Amino acid sequence: MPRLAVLTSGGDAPGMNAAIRAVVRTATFYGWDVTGVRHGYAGLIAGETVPLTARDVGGIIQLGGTILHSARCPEFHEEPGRSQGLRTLRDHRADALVVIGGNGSQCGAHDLAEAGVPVVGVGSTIDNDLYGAEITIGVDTALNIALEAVDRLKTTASALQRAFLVEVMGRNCGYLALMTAVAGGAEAVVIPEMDTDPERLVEDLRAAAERGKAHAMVVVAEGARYNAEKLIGFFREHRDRLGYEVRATILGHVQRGGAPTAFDRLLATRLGAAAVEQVIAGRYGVLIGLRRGEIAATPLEEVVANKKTLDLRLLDLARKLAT
Amino acid sequence: MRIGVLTGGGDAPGLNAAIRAVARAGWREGYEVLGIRNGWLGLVNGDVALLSPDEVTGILPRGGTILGTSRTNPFKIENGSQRVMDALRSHRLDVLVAIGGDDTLSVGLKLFQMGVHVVGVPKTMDNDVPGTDYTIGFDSAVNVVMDACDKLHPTAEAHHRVMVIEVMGRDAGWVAAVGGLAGGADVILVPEVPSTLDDICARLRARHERGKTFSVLVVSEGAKVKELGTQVVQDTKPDAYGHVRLGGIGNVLAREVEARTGYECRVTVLGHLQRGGSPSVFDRVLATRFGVAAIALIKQEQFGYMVALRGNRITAVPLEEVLGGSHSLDLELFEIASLFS
Repeated sequence: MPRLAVLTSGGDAPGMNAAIRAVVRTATFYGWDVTGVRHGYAGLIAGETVPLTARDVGGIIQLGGTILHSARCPEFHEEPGRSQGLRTLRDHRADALVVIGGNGSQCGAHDLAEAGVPVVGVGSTIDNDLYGAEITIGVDTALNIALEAVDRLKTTASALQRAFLVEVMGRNCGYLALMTAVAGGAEAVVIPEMDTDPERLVEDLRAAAERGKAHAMVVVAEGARYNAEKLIGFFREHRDRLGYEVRATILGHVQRGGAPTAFDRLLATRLGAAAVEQVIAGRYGVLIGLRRGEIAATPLEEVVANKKTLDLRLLDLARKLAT
Repeated sequence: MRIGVLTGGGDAPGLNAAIRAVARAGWREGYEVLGIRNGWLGLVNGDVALLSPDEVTGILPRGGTILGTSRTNPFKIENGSQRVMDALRSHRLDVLVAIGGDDTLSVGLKLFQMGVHVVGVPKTMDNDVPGTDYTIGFDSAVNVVMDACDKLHPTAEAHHRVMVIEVMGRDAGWVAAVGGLAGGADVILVPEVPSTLDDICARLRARHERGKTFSVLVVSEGAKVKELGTQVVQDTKPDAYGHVRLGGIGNVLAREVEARTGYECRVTVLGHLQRGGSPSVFDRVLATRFGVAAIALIKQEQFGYMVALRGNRITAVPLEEVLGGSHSLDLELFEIASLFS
């Protein structure tokens, strides 16, 4: 009986469990055996595996986190980690591997592919910075959590002239921040892809106060040069000019947690199933992701060689709407 | 009879529900109801206007306050109390309904002692107003804490981390204890029970040894940890009521815990999220009952009182008693939480 191994690696993202479930159920449907590798690549190195049957993934589609746990594993990029990982796959007679994770994880997948392992990647990260996948598993949930927080903060701005800085995740990608800003009706957004002059931001906020805006919301990406902590410091020094009292909220890890939204469950399920179809058809060395709304396979070497760019047209839109 | 209603101090969900109840109950008695904008500042500035039914319709589910709020203390402003009395006279206000925490109510008490007819309604997410089991805004706040705990558990487990959640509550541990208990927190730190880093780390290590390689730790902004010295503050400059802004213990604690145990720690400072959003069932009902009870007190000419909840009964407590007391955490709750770590 052919055997498939599956692991989740890197930062956890809501929907990872739905993806694991889809992989296990689809593989089982086609008569394959499934072995789960725990703790991502660290588990691959250590040989930490667990058999996964269709019953083991019952009831997990709505759960955040990952039943296989995860880890960041820099050791896998070098020896002896790499060889140990390969040995684990051999010892467990895995005929193929599905890697569910973001950039770092897909780099690991690419290395395995180069070493001759039949591997298929499934894109998951809340940062949405993976080339070959226009939207990754976990983004929609994180976006909805950030949005709920922005909406919540707006209601507390009844105190006079309040400006709120809300910092969202995304590592070096401004996608989450930009989408949260547009959908949350923020007055300004600060992202790593654009150079922000904090002076200019102070001016913009002061002008907004003069236009009669009782409160202002600024969404900041954690990877921006001026993140929430730095901006708060700057604003405190220029308190008198600002026109607002400023408060900052760093959303943090709540964006990673919680039940996946409908969109993420569907995406994860479709991608997990599609990954297995690829394996069955013998088409390895690719990342499964959505491209132009369709499920597509992108060679892993393209995925690791390219950087995903952010559509900055939304930035223009955000600016116009802050009038 | 002309009633002035104001909301003072920090935001809390349920304020609008209270305003709506005061207005509707007042109109039923044939009273005129006026809204005073931005807490006590509205009386200092004479920013007072009749409330219309249109303004209170549909506001029940809304967070924040349609009247705005501020932390202004009229007794700290030049001529402040005189200006307040002038506004009361020029707008012909017979009674004031002050919805707020102990700072707002302390001003209410002072005015009452100067002869003004005042009725208080307790609001604060911290639940630290003496005389009442619960205040408007507390339940909604602990729902936010619980939700954060629920969201942080899966990611803590996935990465074998300690997630530190810093919550508000000033000098009371209500928010941390109730929110933490509901959220299944493994360690809860409150101001009423000082702790030590040694103890905290020992508990986290014990969990690890039992195979629980992740933890959720809820810490009150006002908690005291022996090795960290005094309470951790953001701003040492006090506001008009003498309060400094607490905050920052989460980061300090995480750093120390990680250094001592080696467990990866991540911090979430919930901040103003706890003050926002739509009021919960409990807060909507409490605020509504309080608003109606305030009008009942006015009808009975029982001034200088604050409406209060005791068990499930609405009662009234003299403002002097309220402001002379304290409402710190019922330690029984804390003990129960410790059983589950």
